[in-house]
Amino acid sequence: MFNTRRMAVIAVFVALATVLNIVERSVLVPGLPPGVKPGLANVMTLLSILTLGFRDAFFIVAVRCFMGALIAGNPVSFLFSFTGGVFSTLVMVVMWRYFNKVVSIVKISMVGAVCHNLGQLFIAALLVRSWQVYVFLPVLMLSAVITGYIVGVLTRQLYLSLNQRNLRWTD
Amino acid sequence: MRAGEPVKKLDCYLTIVLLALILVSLAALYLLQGRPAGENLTVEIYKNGRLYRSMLLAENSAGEIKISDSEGHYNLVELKEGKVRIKEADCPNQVCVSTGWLSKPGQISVCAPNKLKVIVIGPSEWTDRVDTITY
Repeated sequence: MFNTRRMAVIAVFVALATVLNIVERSVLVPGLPPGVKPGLANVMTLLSILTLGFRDAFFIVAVRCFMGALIAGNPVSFLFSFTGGVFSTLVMVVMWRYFNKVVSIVKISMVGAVCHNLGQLFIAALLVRSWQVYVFLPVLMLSAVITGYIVGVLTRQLYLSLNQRNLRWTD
Repeated sequence: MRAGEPVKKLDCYLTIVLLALILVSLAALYLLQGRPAGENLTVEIYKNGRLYRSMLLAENSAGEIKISDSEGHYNLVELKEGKVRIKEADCPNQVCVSTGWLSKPGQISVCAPNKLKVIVIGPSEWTDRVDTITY
């Protein structure tokens, strides 16, 4: 199962996701509400679901969160990105596997982004022990729909252009 | 279509659902926080889910409270001119600091890493509570 080609592709995906994660963390736009991020690393998550399958996608998300926490983060930010990442990946995997015929890649990305924020607010609510943190939901959801759309379009174009090249992802 | 992906069946319904969710949550937020600032606001600071301190948010109240915990982390809460904010914190993401000033009932500022919550409570909730104690 873990042949060389597959391992190399996973390594490239993890590296790209980690770099995107660090880049978007360092580009903070002042004036934006708290917690609003572009979520560019989601491009790699979604692309790995489309090309490699759900097992590798979960693996890539977990390793990316771990790498991000090692390089620029701390235990709490790991908890946040891990919960959000795993929950949104789960939802996107289900959508791609079972609703592929009726839902486009862009919509999968948008729903995934919203789920990412839901997962993060869930952890925040657990930590602070108060469901009132969900007052941040409207703003976060609005931003998730916008960034999810951008990420979705990016991923779709990447996927289509990679498909035209007839790449073999695994042996 | 520019891209080679056809329009799928559920797409437009999903768009509607997402937009409806945003509108509903915005409306709920407006109902929760849209009331005028009003008098007799109370600030409550919760640490680890327990009430740490509660005080009146008066026009002339001013001051700073430092909430530290056993692990050495801290948040600095500032009161000024009927507003309250988390001025400083040693948490990594600084979400609580960038939330800014709170002055309306229902507004909250949260520091998840330090498990701290600051919330402004309106006069109605406050009098409700007094009534339950009195009667």
